[in-house]
Amino acid sequence: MSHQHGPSEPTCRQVFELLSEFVDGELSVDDRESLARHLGACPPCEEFLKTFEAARSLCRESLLEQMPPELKERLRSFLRDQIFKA
Amino acid sequence: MPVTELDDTLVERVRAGDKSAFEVLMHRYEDKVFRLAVGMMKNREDALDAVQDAFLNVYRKIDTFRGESAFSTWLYKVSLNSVYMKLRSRSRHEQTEPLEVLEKILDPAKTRILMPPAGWSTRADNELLRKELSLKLRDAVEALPEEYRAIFTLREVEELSNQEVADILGLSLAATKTRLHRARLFLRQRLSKYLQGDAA
Repeated sequence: MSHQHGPSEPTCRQVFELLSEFVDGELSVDDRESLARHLGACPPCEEFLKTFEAARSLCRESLLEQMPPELKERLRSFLRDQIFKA
Repeated sequence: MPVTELDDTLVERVRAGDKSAFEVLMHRYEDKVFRLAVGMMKNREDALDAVQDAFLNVYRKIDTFRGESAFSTWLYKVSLNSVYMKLRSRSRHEQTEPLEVLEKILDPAKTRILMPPAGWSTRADNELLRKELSLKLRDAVEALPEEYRAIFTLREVEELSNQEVADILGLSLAATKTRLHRARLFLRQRLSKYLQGDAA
């Protein structure tokens, strides 16, 4: 995955290494802009970013759940016995 | 509508022997601790055991909380220790990927960057496929080494800052960010392989 890039533009490898900082908004304005320029001109990196973001999002969704009421009751019952009745 | 009491105020009340204050804290954090435990252990029964131990430990050790960090940071730290203990006792940690797999992900000399197949976006919009992928990702998260799994869960699911995650795990900020990036790349790679049909 590579394409022609200018001297001040990050390489595909550098983009790969900076993606987390990019999506977390931790890059400087200059770095963010040059990385965004690279992404706009490099379809493989742009696609990589899409799957990087999609994996985060899907995984987050799969892990986002509230504690089921029956488990909450068991937790509370356990702690009542261990703490509140002691 | 009662004003929500600050964690620190509740902690002081617990220290003074007010068990009802602990109940308020427990209700405030039980979903969060459970999500962390499920993210780390997958199995809900195992997770419940860890959550029970975590809250019991929080109650018993509350006098050792010095207030140098937020109460929630300390609670996550105690909870994570309970999860680790449970994982050790059940040898679940043996099912994770070797650390070398994660190390290779950011080693340019050893990494082949997998590219997504054509039409990926269209396929991911399909609800059934999304559910299947979600299950695959649960497996992938469980395959992460424990520390990476904890970082990913705390950062992505609980939406803590990198600094908060670093404080909970006792890592430097730089190490936390590097491991988070590796975990994200690892999961993307697992998803990409699944979509290409060769990792199911």
